[in-house]
Amino acid sequence: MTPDLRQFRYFVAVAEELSFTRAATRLMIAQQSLSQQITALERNLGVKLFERDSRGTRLTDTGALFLPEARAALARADEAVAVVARARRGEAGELSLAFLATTANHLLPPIVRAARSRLPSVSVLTTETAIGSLVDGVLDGSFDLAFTRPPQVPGLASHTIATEQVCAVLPAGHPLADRAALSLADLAGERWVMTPRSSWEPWHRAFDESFRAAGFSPQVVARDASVQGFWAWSRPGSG
Amino acid sequence: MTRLGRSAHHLRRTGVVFVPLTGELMPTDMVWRPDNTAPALRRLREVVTDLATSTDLTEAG
Repeated sequence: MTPDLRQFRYFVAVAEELSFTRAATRLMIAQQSLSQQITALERNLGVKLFERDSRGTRLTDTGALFLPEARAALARADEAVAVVARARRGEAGELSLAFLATTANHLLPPIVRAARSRLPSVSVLTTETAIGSLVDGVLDGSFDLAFTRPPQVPGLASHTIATEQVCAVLPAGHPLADRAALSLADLAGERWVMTPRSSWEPWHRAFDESFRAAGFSPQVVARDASVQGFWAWSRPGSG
Repeated sequence: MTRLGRSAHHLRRTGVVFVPLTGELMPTDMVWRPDNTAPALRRLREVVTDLATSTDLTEAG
C-alpha cells in the first residue's frame, strides 16, 4: 500500500524534532498514535527510518535520504491544494478574450494590464476578430468573454463598460467638415462606406432604423469590414 | 464618408475629420455565456467593471 500524506507529515515532524514526544505535541496527536503510524510507514516501505535507543531518536541513512523527498512531496501536495483554492476563488485558470477589431486598439491594452496586475495567476489569451466570428466564438465556448457593440445576441449576458459619441468621418475639406456637430439627416446626400451586410445582421437592422428615422436611405458606395478600408474610402476624393 | 465611434480617433489618419453626430451614442459591452460559471471569468468581469468605473475606456490604450 502506498504511504499516505499524513504519514509523510508525521515522518517529517519526527525527523525535524528528533523526538516522538515533541513531534506528537507539534502534531497535536497522542504519542502512541504517532509511533503506530511511523511503524506502519516503516513496514510499508520495508525499511527502518529511525533508530530509537537510550541516546534518543536518530534518522537512519535511509531515513535521511527519505526526508528531503518527503518534504518535497508535501510541498507539492500543498501547492496542488493551493492551486485548486485559487481556481475556486477565480484567481487561477485560463481565459480566452475576444475583441471586436475596432475596439482592440483602445480596450485590449488596459484590460490585459488590469488582468495581469489583479489576477496574476490567470492566463489570458486575446484574439482580435470580426463580429461574426466573435459571436460564434462566445456561443461555442471558444471565447469566455468578448468586447463588442450592441445589439447583442439573445441568450448572451452583457454589461456595458463604455459609451462614446458617434462621429461622421469626412474627408478634410468636405463642406461639412468644419461643423461643430452634425445630425444624421445632414448627411442624406453623402456617399457612404458601410460594413458588409453579412457582417452582423442585428447591426444593420439598427443602422437601417436610424437612417429611416433620419428620413433617408444611404447611398452606399463601398462595403468594407476593416478600419483600414474605412480610411481608404474616407480620404479626400473618395467620400 | 462613414461613421465611427470617437475612440477611432486613436487610429486617425491625415486627411479625415471627425464631426460628432448629435444624439448618436455607441456603447461597448462585454458579453459572455450565462452558463459559463468559471470563477476566473467572474473575477475578470469584476476587474473590467472596476476598470470601466475608474477609466474612460474609449480614451484608453
